[in-house]
Amino acid sequence: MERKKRHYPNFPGVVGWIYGGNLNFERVLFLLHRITGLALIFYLFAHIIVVGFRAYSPQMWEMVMGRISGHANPVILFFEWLLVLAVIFHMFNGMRLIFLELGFFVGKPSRPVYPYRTSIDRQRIFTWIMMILASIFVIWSIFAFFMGGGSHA
Amino acid sequence: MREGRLWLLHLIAGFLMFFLLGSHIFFMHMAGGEPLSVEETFARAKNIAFPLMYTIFVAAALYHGLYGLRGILFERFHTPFSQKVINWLLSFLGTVWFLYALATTWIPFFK
Amino acid sequence: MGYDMGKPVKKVKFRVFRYDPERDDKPHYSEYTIEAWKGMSVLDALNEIKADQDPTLSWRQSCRMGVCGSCAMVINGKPALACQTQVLKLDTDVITIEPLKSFPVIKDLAPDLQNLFRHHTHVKPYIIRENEEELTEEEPTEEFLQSPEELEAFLQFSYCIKCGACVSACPVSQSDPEFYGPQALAQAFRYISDTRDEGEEIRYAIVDNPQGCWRCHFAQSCTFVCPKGVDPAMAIQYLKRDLVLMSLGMKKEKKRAQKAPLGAPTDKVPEKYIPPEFTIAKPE
Ligand code: HEM
Ligand code: HEM
Ligand code: SF4
Ligand code: SF4
Ligand code: FES
Repeated sequence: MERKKRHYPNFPGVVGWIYGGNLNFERVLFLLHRITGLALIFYLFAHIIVVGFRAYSPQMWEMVMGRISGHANPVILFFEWLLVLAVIFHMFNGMRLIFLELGFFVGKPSRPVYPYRTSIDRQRIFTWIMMILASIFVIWSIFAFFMGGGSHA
Repeated sequence: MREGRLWLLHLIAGFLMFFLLGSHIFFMHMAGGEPLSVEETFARAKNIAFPLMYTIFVAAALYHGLYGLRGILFERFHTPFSQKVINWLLSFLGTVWFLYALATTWIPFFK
Repeated sequence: MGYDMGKPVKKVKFRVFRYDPERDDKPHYSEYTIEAWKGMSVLDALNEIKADQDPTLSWRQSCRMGVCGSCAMVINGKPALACQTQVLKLDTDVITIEPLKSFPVIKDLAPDLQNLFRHHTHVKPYIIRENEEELTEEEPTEEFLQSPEELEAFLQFSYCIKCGACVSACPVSQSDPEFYGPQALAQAFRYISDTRDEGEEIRYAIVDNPQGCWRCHFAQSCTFVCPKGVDPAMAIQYLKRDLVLMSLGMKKEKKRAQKAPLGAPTDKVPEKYIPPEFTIAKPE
């Protein structure tokens, strides 16, 4: 039987975001930025609805807040903390992207002499500074959430 | 120029939220104290700065998040028709949520 | 075979992606063991396998010296030129070789790069002059002057050999075949920053598109894998900056190349256009 020749569609699709192979650190940041961004937009939809309850029905707000805030339940406290982690990461990596995507800290085109120096080397310091700042806030959030340093005492 | 303008707005909204969301999270979690009761949020909302600030915040967050979502959806849907559908759908969602949030922030102010 | 350039150093196993369009529905992997010698490139290894073990193995190659861009493939998870990758430098006992991702596979390691060239031609990768006569003239009378700095503004990007490694590595290209991709966007910027070119308005309009430069999220995988130091990620961020400045009305007018009569004596040429003397070091 005659079989028609077919190309194999070697297309990673969404898997490509996650499985990049032997690739660079900035790509991990890209993946985290995308995951946290998506988490935040879906959280925001729910959040706006819940926050809205108080204008229409204070009782409902008290009830919902009593039930879903971390004060009531350590599991929810943990998820709230994950959300705050997502915000902290997205904030600082987002600030980093705002600068880099407007062409700051990526360096100027230069004569390509081997071994090549690229924008990856040039922006690494800035990236580390932003990530260290983010980690400081993450450590702070651990205190605020789990060690009685903040509103969850 | 249209796409570039939308993207620039996305960036500006992100920049604004660095401060707005940053302080939101700070006051909600890090700064200590008890969570706000309804009376307290209502009392706060009498100061026009609060509803104004929250209006800007909601608009920025919704626009920024939905533009990001649109970008991700556009990677999967390419035809002009499906992109138009996505644009309308997301604008509709954004408007509905924005109006709802607008009501929540301004009703206590006028009450 | 004429492969006795070096003594065998160690045995290396190759796990090679195989797909035969006439027989297979799904790809599989074949394994070959070869003796690697010092200086052996992955391309050399593939040639040895084809000569001694499996004549059906297919891939594309031409220059075997990192110039033609034919032999890009995914080597141990990273897109690279097979001819520029040293087997011993990989320092693993098993080397996995796959075709470039994001492109349909014709056979084994040979990808179909049509999509790459479709995007490449879409951004008009050639000098555009307002006066088209200048380009069609049979006997040109004038030449363009470019200072070394003006050359450096685009030289790096013009090193692109269209190998497709960057597109294969880019997470956005991996999920969106319509994304113009790092290669095409970098070429758009290469011609935009060339002082001889007058087509920047056209190209800015092309890349300012929902599938254009705004879908790049600066994962920098393109720059990470580019074998020629083209740095497409940098070029794309500059494209974005230019477009943002334009939409704010803050973009400076582009510098145009000066022209000089053909063969004008160098003392008629302004000093800044004269490149520094080349001195070639004598072998000792
Ligand atoms: C878990 C952490 C969070 C807590 C406990 C929290 C709590 C609250 C509370 C109590 C309000 C009402 C404040 C008032 O009106 O005085 C509020 C409003 C708001 N929050 Fe949050 N929030 C959190 C995280 C977030 C995040 C991550 C976002 C962004 C995605 C966000 C966006 C907003 C917005 C836009 C409003 C105004 C809503 C409106 O006016 O209808 N919040 N939040
Ligand atoms: C706190 C301040 C924030 C900053 C500085 C910020 C910054 C950014 C930037 C610069 C981008 C563009 C990334 C790129 O082009 O690769 C981005 C993407 C995105 N952001 Fe934010 N953002 C912030 C908050 C938020 C919030 C609150 C949400 C959700 C409501 C959100 C959702 C998203 C989404 C969904 C994307 C798209 C991600 C992607 O395409 O990979 N961001 N953010
Ligand atoms: S930019 Fe680099 S990796 Fe991409 S096609 Fe050109 S040479 Fe290959
Ligand atoms: S910098 Fe842009 S083009 Fe390059 S790999 Fe990342 S998303 Fe793709
Ligand atoms: S064979 Fe030409 S680049 Fe490798």
